[in-house]
Amino acid sequence: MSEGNSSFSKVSLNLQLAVDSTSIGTLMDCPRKYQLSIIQGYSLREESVHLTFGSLYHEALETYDRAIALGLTYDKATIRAVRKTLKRTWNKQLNRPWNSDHKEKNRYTLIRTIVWYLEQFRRDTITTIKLADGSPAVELSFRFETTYRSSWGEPFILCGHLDRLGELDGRPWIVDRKTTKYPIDQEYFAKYSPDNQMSTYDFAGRIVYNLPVAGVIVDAAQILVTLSRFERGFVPRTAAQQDEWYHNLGYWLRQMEQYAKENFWPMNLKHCNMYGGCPFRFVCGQTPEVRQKWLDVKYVKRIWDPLVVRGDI
Amino acid sequence: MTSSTSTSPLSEVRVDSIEKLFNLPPDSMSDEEVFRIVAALREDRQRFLSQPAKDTKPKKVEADLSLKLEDLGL
Repeated sequence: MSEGNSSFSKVSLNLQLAVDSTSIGTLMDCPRKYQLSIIQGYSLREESVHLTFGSLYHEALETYDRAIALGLTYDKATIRAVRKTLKRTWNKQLNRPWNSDHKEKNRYTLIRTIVWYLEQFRRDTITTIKLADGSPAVELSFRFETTYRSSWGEPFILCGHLDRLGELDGRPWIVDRKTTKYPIDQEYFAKYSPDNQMSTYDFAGRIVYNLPVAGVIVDAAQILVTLSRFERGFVPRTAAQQDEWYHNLGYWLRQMEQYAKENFWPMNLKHCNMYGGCPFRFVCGQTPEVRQKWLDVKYVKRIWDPLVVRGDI
Repeated sequence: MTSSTSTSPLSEVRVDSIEKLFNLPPDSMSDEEVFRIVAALREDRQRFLSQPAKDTKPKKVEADLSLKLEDLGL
């Protein structure tokens, strides 16, 4: 089932050893959703536009951050980021721009959002931290062994990607960029405390880079057809909160192994209608004997391997 | 998209319609052509920001969160 995915155990089938916030978060949502999306690799065809848009947005801002760290001016760094995005959204075979068929997430709104974001934070009070080798701390892939082990003694590995490590008022923060179609208000930022992804990033920043990370700064972009809006929110974590999160993680890893041993991934029926509906609600709503046919028809296969550098949005 | 005049540190750039720039193969675009797109989008943003207050939300979030940070001694 999980063939070709290097994050899974070679000993225990269907047991993921290298986990990121997406994997664990999906398991927390619903074990059946985890089985279908992470183990079997199914995703809705239309989901790809959000992944593509998010990846390109992150790539562009990484390009900008690196250019600024190299000493380029604001304008030249912006040009470099926009040029890269223009190239990445150009279909060379067809000799025409990428057409997403999505009214909010398309080539124009992508480049507009990049330019507007850079304008919004033109005089950014956050400075990018430089790593020991002098390179800017942007788009960092991390992985490290946890203290948790499977029944076979294999270590669980925590991995993922950080957008940027920055310093604000003398303290290091993880900077994470998000895109959304929803209003960015107090309620929007409130959802990140508690939040598995933010805690994972904060924890990784402290462990991997050995920094007294204060938490995560979320630069959120609301993308609409005619405009993009931005807000910056702070998502702090205390040491006690981190200890609690790590303890929780251990519980979920043990639970994941139990599901894998039984090869049974129960449905969390309270999750089906949340966040606009689970992408697998339709399939789970069918009688079991026809589900595979629907998976083949309505979904595409996309391996989610957290050990492959850069994957989430 | 926009049609107006913009001044940039790179050069005086006439911001024509950027629609046709969006349809040019990017490998053949000069820095100035890319910057025309940037300048036009910056002008779009300025126009958006100068619209009535209903489109520009006050930053309640930062104020509320700063209280939270102070509580934690950060």
